[in-house]
Amino acid sequence: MKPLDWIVLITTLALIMAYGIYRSRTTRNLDGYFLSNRSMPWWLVLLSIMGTQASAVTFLAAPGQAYTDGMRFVQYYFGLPLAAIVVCITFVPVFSRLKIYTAYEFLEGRFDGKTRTLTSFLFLLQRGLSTGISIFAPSIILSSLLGWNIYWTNLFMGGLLIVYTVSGGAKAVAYTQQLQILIIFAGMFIAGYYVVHSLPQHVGFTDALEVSGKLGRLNVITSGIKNGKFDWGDKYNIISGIIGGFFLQLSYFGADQSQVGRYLTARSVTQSRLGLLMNGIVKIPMQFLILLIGVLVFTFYQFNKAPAFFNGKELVRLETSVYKDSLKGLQQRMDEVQVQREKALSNYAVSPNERQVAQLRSLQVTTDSVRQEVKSLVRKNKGDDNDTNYIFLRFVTDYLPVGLVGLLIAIIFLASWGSIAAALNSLASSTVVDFHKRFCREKTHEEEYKMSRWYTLAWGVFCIGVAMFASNIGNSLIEAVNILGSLFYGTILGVFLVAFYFKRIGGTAVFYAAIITEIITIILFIASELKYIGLGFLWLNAIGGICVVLFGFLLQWVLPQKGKPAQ
Amino acid sequence: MSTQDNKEKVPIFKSWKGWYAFVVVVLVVLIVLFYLFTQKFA
Repeated sequence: MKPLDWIVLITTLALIMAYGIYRSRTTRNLDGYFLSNRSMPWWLVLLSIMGTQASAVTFLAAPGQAYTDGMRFVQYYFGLPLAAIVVCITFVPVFSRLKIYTAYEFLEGRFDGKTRTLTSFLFLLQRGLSTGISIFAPSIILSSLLGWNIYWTNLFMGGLLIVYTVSGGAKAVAYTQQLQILIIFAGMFIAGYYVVHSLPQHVGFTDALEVSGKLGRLNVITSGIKNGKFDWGDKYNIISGIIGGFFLQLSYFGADQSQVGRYLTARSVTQSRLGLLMNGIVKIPMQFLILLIGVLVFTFYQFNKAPAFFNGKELVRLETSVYKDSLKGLQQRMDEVQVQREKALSNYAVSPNERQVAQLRSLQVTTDSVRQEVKSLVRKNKGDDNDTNYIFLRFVTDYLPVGLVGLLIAIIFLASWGSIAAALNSLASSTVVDFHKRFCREKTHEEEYKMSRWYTLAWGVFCIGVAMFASNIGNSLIEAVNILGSLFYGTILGVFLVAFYFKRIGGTAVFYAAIITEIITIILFIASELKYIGLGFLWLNAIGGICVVLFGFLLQWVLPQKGKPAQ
Repeated sequence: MSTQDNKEKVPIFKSWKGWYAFVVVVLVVLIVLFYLFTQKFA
């Protein structure tokens, strides 16, 4: 990074911190600290929801995903608008009427204390670990690409935001997310413009789409059907997106305090609903555009030489290892393929026909095959062979102008800060309201307020600790962010589905149903990882939710006298 | 959230059902557009 990049990066981050501290003035009680006195308008709720959901991994992984696998990842969000509707109909009015601080508070009234404790515990476990990984994931990428010390990067990624999050609570979180989202959108649009601008002069935007489309990257809608059968192991298709994605998003927006806490800050049910529904409208196009940037980067590398492996640190390790000669051979093959590709693209530009397309596809297959061989060498050299998350930033650092590189790096921090700040606020609120207050009563609002700040700080330190620990394990954990959610969301959602829709099931039945379901979910996940079964992780959400309901009915029938149903 | 909830008018549409239908329509339109996009370029 050049000096101007550092100036842009530091200035942007300092601006956000200063704004967050400026917006920290709030009433010194739980209502003010965790819920901004329930005063937010819908558009601030919307920006806060978006800022919470879009982490750094979104802006790193999504373009890389589009580069390697095409745009079908957008289907992952197809269930979100439908989930938003259900949350608006059922969850929002009930949470609003009860004036709760956390989603799990509602469960004690509906069931009993142990169900509330279990569900809140699952949330704290899942969100605590995934927040730690959310700090580590972008840090390891920046550390590898830019040569930064991973421990200091973890500290800056997770530590600086603690300042305004602890001091200002939910209000500081929401207002900083507002600014962060605007900066992120502006930066991504500028990056998108520069990608197109960097293409050869004779290649316009639609030409770029045509090339990438012919090479399989514009596969936005896929059916998941292979050889005449639906592939349950296929991660992203329209069916898993609508059904599996619906359950995932329903749990995320209905039962994950990091999002529930955002719309509880709204000043009315109307403002809450508008924020949620508008997010349901804009999220999919937003994700489409982020993926499109990845496709444009892919097109760019059709006309320019791509690295054999985008994680430069691993490449340097290979170049100084016993595999350096094999690597050199593979890099020479990539250079030869690139020469042939540029010639094929020129021929295609002059006379586009199926023969030219077939040749381009053949060259892409060769490129993919060479990359697989390079990845094999990385594995043999005991490195991480997944470079998907490095693709976009590698392009940024190699090709974007000075200043813009700093802005894009800042965006990674801002996206990270937005989601982590909301997570810390929600972890603290759940700890205070679902655990601390039930066992240790503070005498005054001031004492509760101070306790809340200490818990926010404690969770911040814990999550940084998880990130530091993850640094010793390796960056395959980057994918764990998505998977961790699906391991717990189904069970938590199932408890809420029973709470709202199945009044005959009481607390004890749903409590044990949740425990059984969680065990089953973990078994299915392990079986899928070990390839005994093929089951995309999105389906775990639906399976978890449905299992809690079914086991709840069964156990309520077996244990009729224990745990009274709702009246 | 305040007791003004019951009195607050639903913006733009006459009821919340209108909003829900609108969101579903937007989703369907997006899926159709994406499908046409896929067919055109893929």
